[in-house]
Amino acid sequence: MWKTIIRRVLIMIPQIVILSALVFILAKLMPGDPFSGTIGPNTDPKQIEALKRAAGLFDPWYVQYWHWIVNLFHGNLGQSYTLKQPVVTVLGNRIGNTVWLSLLSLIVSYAVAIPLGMTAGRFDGSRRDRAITIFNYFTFGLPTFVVFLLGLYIFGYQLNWFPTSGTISINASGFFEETASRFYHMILPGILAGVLGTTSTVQYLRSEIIDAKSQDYVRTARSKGVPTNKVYSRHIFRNSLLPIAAFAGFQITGLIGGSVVIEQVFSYPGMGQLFITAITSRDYSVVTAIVLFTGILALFGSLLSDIILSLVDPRIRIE
Amino acid sequence: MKKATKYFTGLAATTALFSLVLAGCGNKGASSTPTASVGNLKLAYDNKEAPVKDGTLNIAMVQDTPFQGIFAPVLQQDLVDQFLTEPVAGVYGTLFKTTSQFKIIDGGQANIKLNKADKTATITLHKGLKWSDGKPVTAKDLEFPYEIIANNAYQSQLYTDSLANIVGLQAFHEGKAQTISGITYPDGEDGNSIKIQFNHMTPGMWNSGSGYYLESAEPYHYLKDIKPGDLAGSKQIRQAPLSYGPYKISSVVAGQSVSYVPNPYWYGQKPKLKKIVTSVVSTSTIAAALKDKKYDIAYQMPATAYPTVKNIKDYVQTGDQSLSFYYLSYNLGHYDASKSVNVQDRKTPLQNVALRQAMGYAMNVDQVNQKFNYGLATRANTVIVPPFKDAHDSSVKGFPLDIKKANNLLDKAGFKWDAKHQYRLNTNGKPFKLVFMARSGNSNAQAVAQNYIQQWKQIGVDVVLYHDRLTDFNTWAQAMQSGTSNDWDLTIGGWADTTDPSLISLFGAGTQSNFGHFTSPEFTNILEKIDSEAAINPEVRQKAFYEMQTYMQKQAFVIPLTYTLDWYPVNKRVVGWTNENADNNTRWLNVGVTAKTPK
Repeated sequence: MWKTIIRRVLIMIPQIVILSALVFILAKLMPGDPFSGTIGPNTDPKQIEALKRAAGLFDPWYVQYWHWIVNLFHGNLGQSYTLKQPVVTVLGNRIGNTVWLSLLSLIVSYAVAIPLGMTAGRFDGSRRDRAITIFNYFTFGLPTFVVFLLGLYIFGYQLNWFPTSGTISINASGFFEETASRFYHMILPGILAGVLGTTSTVQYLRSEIIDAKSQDYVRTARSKGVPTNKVYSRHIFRNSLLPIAAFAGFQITGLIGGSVVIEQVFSYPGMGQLFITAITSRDYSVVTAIVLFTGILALFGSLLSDIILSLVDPRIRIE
Repeated sequence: MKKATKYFTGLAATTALFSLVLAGCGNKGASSTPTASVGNLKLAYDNKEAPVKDGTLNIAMVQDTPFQGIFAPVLQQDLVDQFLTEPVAGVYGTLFKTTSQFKIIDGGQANIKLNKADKTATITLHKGLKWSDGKPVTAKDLEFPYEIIANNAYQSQLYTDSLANIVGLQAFHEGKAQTISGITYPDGEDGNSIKIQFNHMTPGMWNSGSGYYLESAEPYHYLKDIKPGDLAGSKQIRQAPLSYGPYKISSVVAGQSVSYVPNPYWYGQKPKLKKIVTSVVSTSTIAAALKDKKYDIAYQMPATAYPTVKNIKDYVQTGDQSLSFYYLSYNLGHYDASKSVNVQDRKTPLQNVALRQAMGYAMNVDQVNQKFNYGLATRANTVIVPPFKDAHDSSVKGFPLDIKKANNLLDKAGFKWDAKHQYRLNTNGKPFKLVFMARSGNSNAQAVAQNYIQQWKQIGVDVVLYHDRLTDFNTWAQAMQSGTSNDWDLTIGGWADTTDPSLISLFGAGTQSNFGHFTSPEFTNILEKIDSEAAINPEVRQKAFYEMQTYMQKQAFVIPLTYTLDWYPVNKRVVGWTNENADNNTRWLNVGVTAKTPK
């Protein structure tokens, strides 16, 4: 397996090079540049030209790409044109917010979806199953924007249980107070995002369990007198997790992607919003850094999913 | 709040077409009493109760993205950062006190004395003015912003032709001089004044925000050791900036919130609040936040929230005429970059004045404002905004909706109706089609653009959207700034004006911002008159401004569309809130709250 993993990692290198070149070229093809629309009528056009020249925007794309790659290997992702900060600092400010929020929502999502999926699958056709299916329709069908707004309105503004915007209170000071404040700010968006993210897991788990119930190995276990609970927890559950495990790698790497909707509603600065604003303001250095970063993680996610699959099901070997 | 520089009303200004009901606007600035109003909005709110000690004022900065957080006026290009810097550096980040029409008068943190004969300005700091670390604000701190803007190592985009009028600044900018010869220190670098030598004097110099000199100070002792390229991203600018205003920044959560406490070294009257906290709130939740009384004041309110927010109990709707205006521009030529001059040479039916006027008269601006701006908008009659009372000519009619007049104009000019195509033909008898490059940006943009196309159809002018859709801001800005684009015939643009009403930088023969490229010797002459030394005499300048507006009405190379409004809901526990321009310098000093929590 190790050989395979190393081989997969080596294959990723040309993939990443191609990805980065594509990202770089596409970013440059967008109309406008970071200086579009920021120029006042009194601004000396020569000054802007000098700034563009200093930023290398007049160089051919391959020269710009080469400079970017060289800087990348020196750990320098460049300077954000619009935020006037090193890209590393900009990403650093946002990535933590996004990772922690996504992690919480992922945990909530699995914590809610697995018991629901198991119950629905085990008691399929029952009232419990029907109730869970209806819940699933809601989480699938309701627009996320509406759910977030409604959740914020009820739990934030009406009941005042949770903070309504930001990632931390401005008054928090000291490690413990800051950590607690960050967690407190994450709870509402984390739970809402987690609950809305349960649909596919519940549905997959339910159908897998229903399928597995009629398999020979389950019948064998039952005929051997294994208690029903044990049949579900030891035999059916593990086998039913396979499709979920197949996605797990991607979900873990998706932690840094961020959600534009949730970040906007909760004024929660994260990677999703950063990406969108970087595109609209043609902040090339930020756009390329984010796409490259998420691209690399997606490649690793694919590998991770394969590894998780092989761990969950010893019959599967990646070769 | 006004802006210190001209800006495209672009990405941030997605609430593009909102403005005010003009009634009462003419009196704006005449009084700062609580009863003064701008349309439906009060100019100020002052409740009669006494402010509590230790009060905290909560401000909502309404936007869907985090703020940049550059807390140094000299480095700011973002209006939100300018708003966030108000409590520490004044409403425009200016040291000067002004009248309601932005004329600089004595009494601010600094005074300015302009000498026409010597072509100099002497800026003198208030003797008690100190930074929030206790160090005095010095003459060097007044000069340092020029170094930041003009030295290319700082990579500032704010170096302008107007600043190049300072003797020696261009040489410093080009690296030919180590110091700025035109800026001297009458009583040394540690003194409290600087003298600026200009090449020539212009009338705008008597106005704050005109851009001929800088109006803020930067703490040289605090920033001098930071590498130029790192300054904008430095902790000293973003996390712990120094202040010379009544408040100082006490903490910052990057992109999310800022808190301010009184500056212990402030020389003047003690501020009335113990703390101010400004937080970013999304446009989709601000109405709920105000209903829940989470905030005392909200900035950058979207017009779409007005119908809901105006009915929220315990909030007063305050506001002010903004300096932004929107206009329809016709593409009549190109910009010759090699000669830095606009050339009106495009072959287009729009060279015919009657067509330009008729298209203006066909636009139902009032209806659009009523429908999409919730009664907060008004039609513009000229491109000089009403707050400049001395310059704005209210007798100019603009282009109110008049289809009959539009048709008459076209008939007389020879644009004959073609029954076959149901559109008019060009004066040469051939059909013509005009391309409208309408910007995307807000949810109403498509409807507004289609509405105007429909209006023009009514007078037989065939107009289509560029590529049959709205144009994103970057593509639009590229087309405008290229100066040679033939992709469009008409577009709607907007500017947030400076505090000097001169428009030579927007419509002058030599400016790249003259998107329509209209030029004429007569118009150039009028524009030059406005900025001439003779126009330092206010009467001469007013006459030139009036002449300009009459000429623009006649030539119709731009159609003024709307004036915009700044709107701020204020909770009734707030005391001393005013949007009056004459109070800009003291606004934050007088704001307090009369209860511990919002009412």
